[in-house]
Amino acid sequence: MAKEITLHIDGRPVSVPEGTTILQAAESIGIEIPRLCYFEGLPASGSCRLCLVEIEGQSRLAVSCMQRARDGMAVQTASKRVEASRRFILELIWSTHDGDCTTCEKAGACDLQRYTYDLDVDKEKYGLYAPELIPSDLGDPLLERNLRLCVLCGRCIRACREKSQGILDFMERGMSTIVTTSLNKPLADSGCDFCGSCIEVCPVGCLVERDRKLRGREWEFESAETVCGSCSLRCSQVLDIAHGEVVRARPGEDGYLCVRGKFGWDYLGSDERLRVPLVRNGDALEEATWEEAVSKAAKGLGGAGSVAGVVGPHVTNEAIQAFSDLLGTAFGSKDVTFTGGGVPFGVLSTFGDLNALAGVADVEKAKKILAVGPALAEGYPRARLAIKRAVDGGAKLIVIDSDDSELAALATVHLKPRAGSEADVLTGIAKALVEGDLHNGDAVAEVQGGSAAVETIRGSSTPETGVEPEKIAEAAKLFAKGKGVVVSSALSCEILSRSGALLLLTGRRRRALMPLHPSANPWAGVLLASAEAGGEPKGRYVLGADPAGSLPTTDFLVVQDLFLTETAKKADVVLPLRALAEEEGTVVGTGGKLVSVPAAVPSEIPATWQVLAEVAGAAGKTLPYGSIRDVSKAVKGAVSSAAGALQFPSLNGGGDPGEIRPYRRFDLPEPSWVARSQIRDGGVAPEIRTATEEVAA
Amino acid sequence: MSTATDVACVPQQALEALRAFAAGDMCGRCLPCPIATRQSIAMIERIIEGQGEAVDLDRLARVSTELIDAARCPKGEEAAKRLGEALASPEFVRHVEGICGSGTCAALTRYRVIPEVCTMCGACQKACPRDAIEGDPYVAWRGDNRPYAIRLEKCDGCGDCVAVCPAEAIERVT
Repeated sequence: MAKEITLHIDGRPVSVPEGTTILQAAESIGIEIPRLCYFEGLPASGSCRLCLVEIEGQSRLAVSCMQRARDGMAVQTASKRVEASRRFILELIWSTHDGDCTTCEKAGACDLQRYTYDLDVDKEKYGLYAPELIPSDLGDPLLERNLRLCVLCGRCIRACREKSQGILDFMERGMSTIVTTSLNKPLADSGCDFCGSCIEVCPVGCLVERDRKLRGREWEFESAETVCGSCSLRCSQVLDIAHGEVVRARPGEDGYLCVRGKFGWDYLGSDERLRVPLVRNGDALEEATWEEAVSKAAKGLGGAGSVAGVVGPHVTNEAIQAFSDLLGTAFGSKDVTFTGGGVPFGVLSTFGDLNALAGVADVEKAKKILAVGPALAEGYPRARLAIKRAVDGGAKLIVIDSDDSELAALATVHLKPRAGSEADVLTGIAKALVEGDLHNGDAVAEVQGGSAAVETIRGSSTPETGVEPEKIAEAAKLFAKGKGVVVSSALSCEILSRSGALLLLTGRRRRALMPLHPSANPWAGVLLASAEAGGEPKGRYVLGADPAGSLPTTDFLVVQDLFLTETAKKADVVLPLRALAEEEGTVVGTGGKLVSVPAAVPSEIPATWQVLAEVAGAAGKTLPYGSIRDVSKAVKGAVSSAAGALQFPSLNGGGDPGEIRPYRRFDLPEPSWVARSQIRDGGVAPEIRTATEEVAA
Repeated sequence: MSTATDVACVPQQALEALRAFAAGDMCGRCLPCPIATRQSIAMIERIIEGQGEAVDLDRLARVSTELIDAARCPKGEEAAKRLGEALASPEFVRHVEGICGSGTCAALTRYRVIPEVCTMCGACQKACPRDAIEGDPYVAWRGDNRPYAIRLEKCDGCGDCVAVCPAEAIERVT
């Protein structure tokens, strides 16, 4: 605990821990000192000079965002001299700020506007200086950079360095200073990954999301907190809604969104969204009322004889639960395929419970990180940030990647096998651990088949992977001790089972494995633990999945989805589906915990569980739910009772997913909305390179 | 181009000092310094061009005092102090009033031909780049010779006529 010190700010006493800056101390008693360059969470630079304060007994004004408070200090934050200096700086800024607040998107949330108002600053004091030399839009995709509004605070530079690629900097020098990329190249040619972290910190309207333009003023926004549904990391996300439409996404508590979270929500209001049900009439799909469509779906499926379901990993637990109940209750079928893969079953059958699933916080706190899989950093920027933060904090990183990827540059040890032999490298590390007696014998002995597995590993031959044995030994030695995690962008069962083996060998069973999945709710497969694949069904209900070409033809097909997908085009009844952001419910999070997601965005489409209950009703059955809470209760029970065995996984062969779960396998294209989003149009979001249909053993 | 040391005009010296600061010591990484310097340079340029206004003097005075507080490093502070010292000279006010004391600000300098001394050789007219001098060369038998005179609305004060006059018949009026 740091020593407490007491000082006076504007005559009011305040006690703060030693090391606190004057600005923070003032903030702790509700005194806001104007600032443009300082931003909480970023390193201070002291360059805007707005936060100057007067300290009794000091002739010079002090920079309050950098100067630490001292015991007994007397600070004036708004003396005549301080205000004169502040006013002077604001007048100067206005001489370079070629902006009109009436049309600026940032109006109402602009710091410059607020301080100008507070001090009644004369904006025309120094006249405007040659702004026509600077372009008002540099033409980048997704975001507008209008350097005529730049106040050179440098926040974006620091945010880019801390959270992303570090491509922005002060360029030129002296009076010509501008903030841009190296050689003033477009963002897309500078390695920008379009996370938008720069926009979040910009105090003025210089950096603005393109898709929010002219869609509402800041003061009209209603904000809803939710989680981003673009991958299994589910970062906290705030959606700003104006006039009933989402107009902007911002990072939530976590403080970071990648391009998918920041810009990939535009599908929500897409004209192509399904909003009314469609029923087949000959070759055509025609609009119908909900009653007609639901009754037709119930009749068609009921009359088919045998029914199977397919459900995707982008819907809530409640939707999956109600879906499985519908098929069981109304159509007597246990045949439900979850297209999110069997990772949770692999985790259950290796670790015994879902506690082993790690989150970003676990990665950030880890001391040893083993990262495996293709394009991990590119496909999952939040995971990259977590790993980078851990490495900056002193963690050791082992990367298994056949490419010289971005992550490999951060690695303490980069194991570069031939493509396709990543799993064998993990086996090699396991063998090196055992041979070097670096494994945790006591922990392994508790695992079913653990001791025998150790002996098998000891006696096995090292697979040939193209990596020098010394490097594998070095990696094994490095990984053996300390809080460690495995992060994998590969969802192949070979890689995940061997990762599990490594974690068991080193005695890490809790919050130690982070498989990365390109959908929001991939661990919800546990809800379908009792599902069974039957014979070829005659009727099929597909919920939030697009298996298209690989889906065998059935007599009757119901599809419920966001868009008229390839699968939906073949359907007899098409029902609209709420997106994750529109649906109240839960998803299965790290450690097997349930994460609540609110209905952040208003939708005219009924809640999914209600639609499913309606279908059951039309089929003459009742789902035992009166409200979403009842469904959630059932979900809670199903997830908490999901358990497996603490069992050492096999290190031989692939472990056919079929051995664990009788799954039907489908080809799944990229989610329908990603293909329809501006992030794909703009070509700025890399495709996530993972096979989704595989199951971990 | 003249430098700060070899020109007697105070505003010109101040301008050169600021230009040298902008091209040399200034880093531009903290906010007030580059903007204030750019603004000050623009204002002094206007003053030297004869377009200065009294309000420019207030603005410059404000830069010279406030930048001392606002600048982060001694370089910016030093630049502000030098500007303040220059502003203390009456020359800035005189420039705004239209007079350059040292006669080196072309825009503020005007000449006239002294008719009693002029030999009517016409060298000044040939040298004038602005065609601002009217008059005819002396021809003995003519009675309607126009004497040489400088048209002030055309003259930009360059002083080329003074340099070529063999009789020292052109003098500065402001």
